[in-house]
Amino acid sequence: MKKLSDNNFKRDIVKLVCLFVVIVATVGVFVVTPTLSTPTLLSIVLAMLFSPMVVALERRGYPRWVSIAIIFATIGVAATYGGFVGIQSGQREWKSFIEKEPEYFKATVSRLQTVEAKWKTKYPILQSLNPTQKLVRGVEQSTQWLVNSGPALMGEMLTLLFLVPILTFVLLKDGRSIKKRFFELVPNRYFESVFSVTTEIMTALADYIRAKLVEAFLVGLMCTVAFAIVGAPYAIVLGVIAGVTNILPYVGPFIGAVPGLMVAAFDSTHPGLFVPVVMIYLIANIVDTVFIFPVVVAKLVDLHPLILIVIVMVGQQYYGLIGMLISIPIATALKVIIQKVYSAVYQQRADNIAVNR
Amino acid sequence: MPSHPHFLWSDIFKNREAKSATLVDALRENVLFQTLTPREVRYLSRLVYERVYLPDEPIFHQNDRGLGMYVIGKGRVAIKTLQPEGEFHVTTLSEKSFFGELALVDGNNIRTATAVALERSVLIGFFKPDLTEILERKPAMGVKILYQLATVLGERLLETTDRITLLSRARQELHFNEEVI
Repeated sequence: MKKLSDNNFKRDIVKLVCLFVVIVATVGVFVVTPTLSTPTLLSIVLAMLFSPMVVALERRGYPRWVSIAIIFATIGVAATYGGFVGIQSGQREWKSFIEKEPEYFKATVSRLQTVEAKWKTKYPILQSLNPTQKLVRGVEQSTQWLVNSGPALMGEMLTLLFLVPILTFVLLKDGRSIKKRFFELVPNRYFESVFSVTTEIMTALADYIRAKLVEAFLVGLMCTVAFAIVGAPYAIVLGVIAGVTNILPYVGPFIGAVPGLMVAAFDSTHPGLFVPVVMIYLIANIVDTVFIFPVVVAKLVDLHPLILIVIVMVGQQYYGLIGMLISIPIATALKVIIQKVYSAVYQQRADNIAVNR
Repeated sequence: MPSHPHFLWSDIFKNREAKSATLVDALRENVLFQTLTPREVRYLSRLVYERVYLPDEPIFHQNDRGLGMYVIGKGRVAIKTLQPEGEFHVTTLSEKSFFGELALVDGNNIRTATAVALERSVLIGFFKPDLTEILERKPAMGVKILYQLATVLGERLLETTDRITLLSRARQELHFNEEVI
């Protein structure tokens, strides 16, 4: 008996070592090569997003690969035609926005300089501080960086355009067999626990990503429609920016509001837009905080709002914007693991008491 | 010592076709999946997990949270319960038998017994997330499995009721005899 359990133990140790090596090597490859990790992460997000659509088509009797192909073809066709027809106005807006952006920036700087000069006359102690100059220098440096790394960024974009569809297709089609190969390395004694935890984490992450994207879409749509109604320029661009930045928790809505407020404040062709635009951002944010977030996202995460703020701050402290973006999904995954470990320990203790009674 | 079919290095050279055929056969012969079409059984074979257990290796323990059922592809499995008075051997299951199926329908299933491999056994694990996936992707196939599962659970309930009736009748007779004496 002793010898047999030793054999099990040896085999489990070998499997655990293999599992550990696979996990460390995979994470290591991704950390060392960002050119691989960015498209992979993007593909995982897209695969989770498309998965319900694939399932819906499979339910209608199409084989899995046909379902994926239908979705890819639809997206490809929509992107091509949409580029010519639907997004054309958006592109025009974007071009004009980029052209006029220096004008807005100059107007902002001159106003800031006036305010700064006024404050410095009033409080001479502030003479040594030059916030406007620092801001201008910062923007200049960022622009220089953008110009210098432009070709590299273009190269990265092309790699993404090439790699992401392929990786997304592979993940959607063979995701299950990849998962199966991973589970083969898990020792029998931990199999059901690891299977259960992994399934719960994957479900929680997929639900969170989908919910965040739905939230972003709704906020973007709300802003675009409202901007169009009040006659604000660049309604589509500003709506898209508001939607995309909304993915970032807490600070996202503020970042997303900056371009719109700049346009409303300094565009001389559309006077009197500042208050309506501020109201639109405010109402959109209130609707998001009161209705969309609690109904769509918070239910899935199920963490106290205070804990969520702390998590996002910790993420921001160590990994900046990316940290803010991934902190909540990581916390959700950790919560599932902690709950499982806690219930396993607690349950085992209860069993021991029951048997010894 | 017999080689472990799931051991990492032996996996590289194994004959996948042959293995797949055995798995499909084992599933097709099981009562839960016998109403499925060959295509559906092949689809199912891609979802299930084949696990190999050595003699005396536990498959799950009593009071563990249950996630699904196991079909015995090869080998024998002992079902035991742990009581305050000690360990009781309930039954021994052999090839083509299955156990743990209640976990497929019960959300918070707790295993009521311990399952231990008596010899080197190949088990096919079919878990609740797999059943949910089938119900989402191929509802008609999922209904067939659930119907068979309901039939099996119903039969087991009838069997249990019969045994309880027999036991209570025996107990009444014993009580009556004691009174007569």
